[in-house]
Amino acid sequence: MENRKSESSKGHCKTLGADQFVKLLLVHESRVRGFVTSLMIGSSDGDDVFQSSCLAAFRKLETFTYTGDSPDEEFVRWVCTIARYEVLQIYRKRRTSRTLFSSELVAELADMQIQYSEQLGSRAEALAGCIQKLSSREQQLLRLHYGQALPIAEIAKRINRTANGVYKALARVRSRLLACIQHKLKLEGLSS
Amino acid sequence: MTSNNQFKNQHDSADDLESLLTKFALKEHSEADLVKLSALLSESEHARWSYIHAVHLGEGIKGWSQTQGVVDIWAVLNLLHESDNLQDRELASHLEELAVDDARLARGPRLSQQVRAAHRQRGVNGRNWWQTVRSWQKAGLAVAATFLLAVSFWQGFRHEGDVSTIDEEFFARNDAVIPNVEYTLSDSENVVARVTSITSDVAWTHGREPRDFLMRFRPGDVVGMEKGLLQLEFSSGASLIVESPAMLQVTSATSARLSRGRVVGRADNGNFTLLTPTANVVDIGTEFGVGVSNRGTDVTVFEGEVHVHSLLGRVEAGSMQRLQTGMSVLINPQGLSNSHSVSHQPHFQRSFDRSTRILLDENSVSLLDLIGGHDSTHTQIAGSIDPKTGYWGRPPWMDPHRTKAQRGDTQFAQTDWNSMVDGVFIPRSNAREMQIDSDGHMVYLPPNSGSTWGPIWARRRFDPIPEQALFSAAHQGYWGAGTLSQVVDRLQQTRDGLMGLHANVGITFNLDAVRESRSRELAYFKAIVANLASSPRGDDPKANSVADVRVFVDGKLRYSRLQFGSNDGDASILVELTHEDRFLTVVTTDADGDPLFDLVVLIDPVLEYEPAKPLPSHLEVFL
Repeated sequence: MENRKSESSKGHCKTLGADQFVKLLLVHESRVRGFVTSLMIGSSDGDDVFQSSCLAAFRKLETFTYTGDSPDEEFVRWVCTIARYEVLQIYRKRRTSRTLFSSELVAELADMQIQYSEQLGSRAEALAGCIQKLSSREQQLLRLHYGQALPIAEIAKRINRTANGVYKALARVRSRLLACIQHKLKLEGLSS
Repeated sequence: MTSNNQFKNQHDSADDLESLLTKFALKEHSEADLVKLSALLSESEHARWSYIHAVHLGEGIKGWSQTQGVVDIWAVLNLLHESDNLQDRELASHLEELAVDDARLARGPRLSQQVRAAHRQRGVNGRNWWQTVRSWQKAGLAVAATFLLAVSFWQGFRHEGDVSTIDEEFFARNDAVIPNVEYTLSDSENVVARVTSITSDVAWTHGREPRDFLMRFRPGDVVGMEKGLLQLEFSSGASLIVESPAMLQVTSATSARLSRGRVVGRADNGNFTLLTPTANVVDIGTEFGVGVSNRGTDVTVFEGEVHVHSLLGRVEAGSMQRLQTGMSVLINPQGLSNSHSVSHQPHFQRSFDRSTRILLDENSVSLLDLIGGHDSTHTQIAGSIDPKTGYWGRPPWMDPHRTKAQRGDTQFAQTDWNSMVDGVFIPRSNAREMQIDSDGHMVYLPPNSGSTWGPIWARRRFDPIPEQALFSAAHQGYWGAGTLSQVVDRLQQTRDGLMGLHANVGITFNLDAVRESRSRELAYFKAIVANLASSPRGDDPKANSVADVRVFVDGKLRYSRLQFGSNDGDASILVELTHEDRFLTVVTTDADGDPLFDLVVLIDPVLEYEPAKPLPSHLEVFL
């Protein structure tokens, strides 16, 4: 696999090498994780499903082909399709659980994201710019909660503040980011 | 259902969805919320898209967060504090419950209005910085009505080179002869003069280099030059251009002794005394030149009036000659005077216009010059500010031979000697909020030792750097005076120079005043930050201590670099400034509760102006 020639042609279709696979996965990890998380809300199995999806995709790498100039969008759709299957497997195993969405809802959410994967990609790009527009303090708050995975109560404890205050501050920053993304997409004519 | 009810239900539903999504995004949801969300998503495509966007937003933030460095938890605290005051009244009550200083919070808005008004007034009528420096001289120094030049000729003057002998004999005699001339050597804590300009070819007389890293002089300090030119500025307002070879002793804010060389002095207030080795005293007003050589002492008046008192010789001893503009006199070693025209006098360097002088960048203001005590239109060699009081030039330590930590008093100290420097402070040790500018902006800073070392200082680079003047083993750790070898080494690698901010100090600049000085808008604050931490004792485990640097604009954090030591190298600071920004604050804190060896420096710090707008074409004809 390691010696496989990158982007070798199969007619108009191109394939990926292992190194490109890893690189693409690193670039688009957030999008794939977003896909998995959206289907696994309320479950602690998100990480496991993400990993098993990546592993499955790697094993099937020879089957992946793309036709565009860049493999990015087709790659994300392909990995998400594999992840969709992995998630549904989990749902089948835990049919009785009431903490997860219905299989129909999961399928609907998955299809929407796969179908409009490119649009979600544009949002991810816009997000990167919007984060840079936040104040340094707002960025620090996000890093504390998301980067270090500190629960709100723990952040509040560390800075001697109320959980309510931390919650509201985070909610405000998220709201600003969503508005910024929408604004950016609108400027670029990509708004839905 | 009426249309109004339909609208209300839709609105409630949207609120429910948003509220629910936030809960999920922040992992604060319950099982009941999950059921509710599931129902909403099943019903509405809009809800499903909102949900998908919310989840992807969270994962995107998470992905970005994981590529970032250390989290500044104190920045978060400041964010919440800002939210408390400006956006969320409900949360303000929580702050009170948490025993945040109510009085300080309540005082904030009132202080803000008062100070803003006062500050704007000050921006227009900015007080000259020397006015303040002078104010602390007035108590101990008599001010003469005219410029006083005391010229005494030492009989053995031809034995040049034995500097210490010259000084001792010369000064001992004149101290006895001129009882009315005040030069209070006991007032050694005060800085009374400083070097403001220097040529790059300066060569110091061995053992007579300026001892102070910041080129300041206390009464009794001697400077000797074999080559080059320097300009001295006294806190009385007088200035001297000293031309080598020269030997000069600063004796007070209004007097000095010249034992060789040439000086051109200017004292608009006419209150300066210059002593030379001949036994003569000369009163001088405004601008004069004095040269001391083997043939005696030449005195020339360029403008105003000079009174020359003879202290040595046979005929004129004790007498006085008045010299007017254009007149000159030579006092020979026998104390005899010969008046002659200016054309026969030695050439005096009346202005400091050597091509080697540091050029001012028209597109930026160097913070080095502001800390150096001047406005944005002149370069300054060096300067320092006491971080506790805001006083300019006065050393913040008591014993010049021993370093001492200085504890803060938790107060922001507003300065009044330069309208562009708003004030200074030593951060509070207990992580409580603190005022950082005269507009009353409050921020939280991390817990620290509450003490700092030495002054906030600035030192411009010039070549060659006189080694002895900068580094003295006897003053190791003497931050900002004698200094450390790594500071000297780093100075040599700069474009403009260094600004020293030992851990646990803060300084705020008034951006409005900087704009007004050149009638231009500001675009950026730029600098490079490094920690030159190192212990003179190589085996000291604290040699690699770490510090934090934060930059606030109007109380909002715009830049931070945390827990960095000397091994972490340099980092660039780039803070974009808007037209509305008023105060820029740079704060250092010890990141480990110990301020020892936290030698934080800003390299080449500047406030950069927006590019100048081109003149309208119809006005270009006037240029």
